[in-house]
Amino acid sequence: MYEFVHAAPETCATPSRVAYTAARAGYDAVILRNHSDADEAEVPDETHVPVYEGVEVRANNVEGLHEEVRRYEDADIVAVHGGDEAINRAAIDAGVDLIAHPSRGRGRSFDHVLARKAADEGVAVELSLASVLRSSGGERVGAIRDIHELLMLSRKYGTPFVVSADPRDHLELRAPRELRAVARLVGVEDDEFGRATTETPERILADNDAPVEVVE
Amino acid sequence: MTLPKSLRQRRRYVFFEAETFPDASFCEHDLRRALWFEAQNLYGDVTSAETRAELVEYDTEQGGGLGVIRCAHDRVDQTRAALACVDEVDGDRVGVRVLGVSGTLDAGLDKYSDAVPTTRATTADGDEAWERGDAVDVRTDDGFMCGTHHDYGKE
Repeated sequence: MYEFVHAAPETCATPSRVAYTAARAGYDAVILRNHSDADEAEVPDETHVPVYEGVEVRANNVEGLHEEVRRYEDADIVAVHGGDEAINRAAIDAGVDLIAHPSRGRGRSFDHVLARKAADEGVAVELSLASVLRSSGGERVGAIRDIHELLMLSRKYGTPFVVSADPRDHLELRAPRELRAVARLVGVEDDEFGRATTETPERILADNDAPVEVVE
Repeated sequence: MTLPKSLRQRRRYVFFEAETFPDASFCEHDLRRALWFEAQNLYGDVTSAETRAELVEYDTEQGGGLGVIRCAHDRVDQTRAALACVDEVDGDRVGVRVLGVSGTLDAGLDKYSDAVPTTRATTADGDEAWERGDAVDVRTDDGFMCGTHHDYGKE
């Protein structure tokens, strides 16, 4: 099972520490996805589980996004910091691997049109449990509603998705079975959870030899 | 009132490891409240009463500890989810990981009490540090930098 994590210098935990915690929790590997506007992480040669070096491109506009995606062509995975409709759309056009938290922003930033398009292009979306795990009240209710909507779209159009706690450091990492218990609560079936945490990340990692196509 | 044995609820004991920064100061009572509130926020009063999740023990040490939650035998999964949602206790951030589940307290203690590494005060590059297993937390100007022996080398 894989988890998509953030680590130093973006946070207070080094990639090696996140890998250590992940190993103790029972993960097979972690995929680093620090934001593209942070300094580059230093991953030691030896870690407790493999650390794949991906990136989460954060861009303010579509041009910036294409530029950044091109810059990170060699990363193990290229994710995009989603949440804005124009950015989500551009991410699918750019053929990135993953759109992180696509519906985090205001209004409906991920809809049936984008879901279908993402499915056609093989772009995965992230079902982020961050707000379920780490907020409460209205914010959590909104996040669960977004997850339900994303699940519905994904089931209808076959959009691949990954499930992640979106941990920013080792303390926010949760073990596979805890994550599954929370995912179950918000309506993710067990077989979907398996696909979302193992098969889809594996496919994304295997695909990284294919060049990222940039559409102007 | 003591119920006859045949009518008593069957229970499970969920053993978990908690990880904090070395300066975290919450105690067993604070964690118990945090778990109660989290279960209540997540499930509401009715379901959290059915779950019967309650912290029975939390052995704390600088930077982490071993905890035990008692719950109804068929509600382990819900207990897991509620526990996973505990991310802060009394203002201190905390990470939790279930080690395992057992039918009796003693059996679980036998099995899991050694699973949590102990903390040792040390130094890393001249700064105050604490190590737990392979993990090293180093005090910095604005908090802690959390690494491992692969980052800091073994001292």
